[in-house]
Amino acid sequence: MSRFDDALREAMRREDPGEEFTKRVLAALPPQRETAGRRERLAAFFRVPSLRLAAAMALIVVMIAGGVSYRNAVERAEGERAKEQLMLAMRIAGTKLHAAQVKVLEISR
Amino acid sequence: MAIRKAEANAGAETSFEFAGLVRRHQAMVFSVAWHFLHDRAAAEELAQDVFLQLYRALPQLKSAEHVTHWLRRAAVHRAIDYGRKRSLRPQVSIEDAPELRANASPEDPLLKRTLARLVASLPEKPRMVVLLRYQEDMDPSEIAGLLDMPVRTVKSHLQRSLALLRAKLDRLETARLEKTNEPL
Repeated sequence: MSRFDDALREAMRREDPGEEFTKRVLAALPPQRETAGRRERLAAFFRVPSLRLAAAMALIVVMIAGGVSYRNAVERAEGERAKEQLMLAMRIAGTKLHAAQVKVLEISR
Repeated sequence: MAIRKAEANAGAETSFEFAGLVRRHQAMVFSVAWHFLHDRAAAEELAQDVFLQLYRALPQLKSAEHVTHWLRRAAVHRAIDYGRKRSLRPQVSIEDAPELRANASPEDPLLKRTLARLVASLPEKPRMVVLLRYQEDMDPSEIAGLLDMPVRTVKSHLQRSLALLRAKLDRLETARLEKTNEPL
């Protein structure tokens, strides 16, 4: 390689603008990056097949648990209604029994 | 609360990674602008703009090599556009002659400065070709791809520019010698 080529290469050597330049660039960055980063990370999460499968299974489990919980609530409500009906029947029976006792006492006097 | 902190940390991590990218590539981007425009303030402003552009484009870039290629292309084309808007080329005059020493070594700072100014005085396309060849060590086919021009055009620009630079440098050295030998 000629001396002229060497001199030209030396003249064109890269020059670093320094840490102050780096700081100025970073200070000029827009602040929205974090929100975009969160969205991207969420999208990246669902792109992994095993993680997608795990998320689907978790959803199924939640749905089953939700269904079971609903059925239990319905059964509880039905039980409460049956109890109320029984109490009412016992009150009615009790009232009628009391009336019958009063009648018997009147007859026996 | 734990999630917010994790997100803030992730954001800080992203900034940290981008800072690393800037430090790794700033010499290349700045030097393309500086050697092309020969205006330090303009070169810094242009380089800063290129990095802001990179920040927005980063989600589309696939690899470290892609980032390097993207940055080089952005720096080159923005420098050319900026140079066109200013439509100024520094001229190297005989006043530069006293700075040159005879048979100066390639590392001689005065020779470096003179050569840099001579390159900056070339027309736009040949100037960028010489810059990419000698600063970035790119071969003619790579330069042709980056500048969207035929390979033979790149080689022609290189050949003519080097001949022109040699001739100008010789004239400057001759002028220096003549000034030195002028009778008192």
